[in-house]
Amino acid sequence: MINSNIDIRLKCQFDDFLLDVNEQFPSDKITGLFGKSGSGKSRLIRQILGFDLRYQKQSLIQFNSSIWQNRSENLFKLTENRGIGYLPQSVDLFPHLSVKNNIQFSSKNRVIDEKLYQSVLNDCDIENLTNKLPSQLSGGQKQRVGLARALFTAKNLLVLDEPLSAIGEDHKPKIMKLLKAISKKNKLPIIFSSHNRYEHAYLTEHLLHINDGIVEQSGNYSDISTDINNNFAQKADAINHLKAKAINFDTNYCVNQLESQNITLWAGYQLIEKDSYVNLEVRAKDISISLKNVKHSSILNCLPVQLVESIEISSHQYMLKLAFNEAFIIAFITKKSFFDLNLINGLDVFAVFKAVSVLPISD
Amino acid sequence: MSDLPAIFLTLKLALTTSAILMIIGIPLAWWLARPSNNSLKNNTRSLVEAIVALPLVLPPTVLGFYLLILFSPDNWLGANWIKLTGSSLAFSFSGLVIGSLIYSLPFVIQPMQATFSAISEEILEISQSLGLNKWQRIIRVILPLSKTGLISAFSLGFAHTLGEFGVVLMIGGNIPNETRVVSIAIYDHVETLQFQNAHQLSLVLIIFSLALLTLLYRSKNNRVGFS
Repeated sequence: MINSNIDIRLKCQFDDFLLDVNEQFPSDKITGLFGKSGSGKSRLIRQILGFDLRYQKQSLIQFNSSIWQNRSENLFKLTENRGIGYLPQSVDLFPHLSVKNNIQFSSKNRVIDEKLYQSVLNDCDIENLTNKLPSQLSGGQKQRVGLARALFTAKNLLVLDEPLSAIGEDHKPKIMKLLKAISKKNKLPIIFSSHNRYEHAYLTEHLLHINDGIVEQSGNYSDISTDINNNFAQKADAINHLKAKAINFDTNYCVNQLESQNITLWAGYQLIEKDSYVNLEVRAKDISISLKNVKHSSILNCLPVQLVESIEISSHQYMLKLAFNEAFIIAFITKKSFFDLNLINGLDVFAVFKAVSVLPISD
Repeated sequence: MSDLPAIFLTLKLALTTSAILMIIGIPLAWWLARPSNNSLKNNTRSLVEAIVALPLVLPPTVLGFYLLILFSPDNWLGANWIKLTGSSLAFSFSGLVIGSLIYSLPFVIQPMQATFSAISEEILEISQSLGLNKWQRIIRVILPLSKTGLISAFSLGFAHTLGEFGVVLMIGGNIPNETRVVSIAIYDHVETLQFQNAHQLSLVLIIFSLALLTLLYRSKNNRVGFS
């Protein structure tokens, strides 16, 4: 059997920070590193690339069957031989080279894979920028060029450090879609870091939640994000992720009618192409609970769900896990509502949320 | 013009000196420019930086005096040189080159150091992730990015050697075709009251140096696409 795993066992002592990671995760998926700034995401990424060796106390990094480093046996594969396409947070384009030469920089002996080059230009939507110098580009354009360069170079793995943080909200969905498509099309594993939950909800298949240099949760994204007992889901900015199919776009009101598990949903104002699948992202604190189906209200979405688990997470809040057919939804409500409604596990209730609180991202 | 040999000798000295300084200077300036967490290295670096900058503040006569002593056949360097080449270092072209190397060193090192420290660690890491090994990084990233700095290092080293006087006077004397450079020739003309010759030679030096520096600053001001 082919071993398609990334195995990372690291102990790195920085000045006042210990990075202690012991993780095995699949190498054929999009792995998302989540954590607040200073949690160690970038430091872990730099270790995967083979930088900052002087801080290592113990290290073993294995990619599939190839050992990238093993300190105890003094094995080390140089960064330049790991076949990683890397996009750092600071992008770092070469100021003296055109966009074209930046992207093709890794080509050996002037042999250029023209087909790959054209496809990354097209994917990143930068065909008309190829002759410009980095100093003539906007921040978002630089980011897209940096991504194109990483894509062009990646043989084994694509590593992206906060790839979307510098990209405007308008361009974000497009780039996120692109990353997902690349991961599928090229069978290219991706490791990316982000402190933004919306990005993880859309992209991440395997989540590594890092806090203070330690991996707090690791596993399938949808399992972790709907497990109300862990502190990834318990954060106030936790979000839900629902897959739905576009049924109709109401041009009178500019609202999308969608369907998820035979239930009608309403979302946003952007036109979603009919019959296409989208990901609906709704914040857990935007979801309310009703005992009856909601009518005569401005709230458009009302899903029949079953309360499967509830937990008191603070002096005034409860967190609920709700089963929606096959999927799960999480919601925050006040302790007052929890007791006023006499909620108990197993109860059939309705999860309601406004159509304007839904962020649709096409799949 | 009877001073043509002096002009050629000066150009030869400046060219030899700045060429050698480029070879010594690049690794030295790189070492000085790159950050380090090692406090021993940082202390050593401060000392080396001070030694490199010393010719900026010392009178050339002090430098010349010690070099003269060092070149003497009674001394280790002077004695070995004679053993190796059969001729003395003092009052020779080779001696002048050694003196000029020390004297012009800071003018070459400082622009190099400035240009090297402007190259970020990140850009080197990126080139590594793009498959470049150590040598390829030097050729394809470091040298192109520091092109203007290297040009100005060479030009300043060259121009400064042209104008050298004190050190040459101490260790070179005034031997035609061997150590009689332009600045010495001018001094000699003035001493012997040949003002017309002194004027001509001085004018040549002024025009040449002005042209060189103008070219240098023009290339600095014209560069585009860098930030």
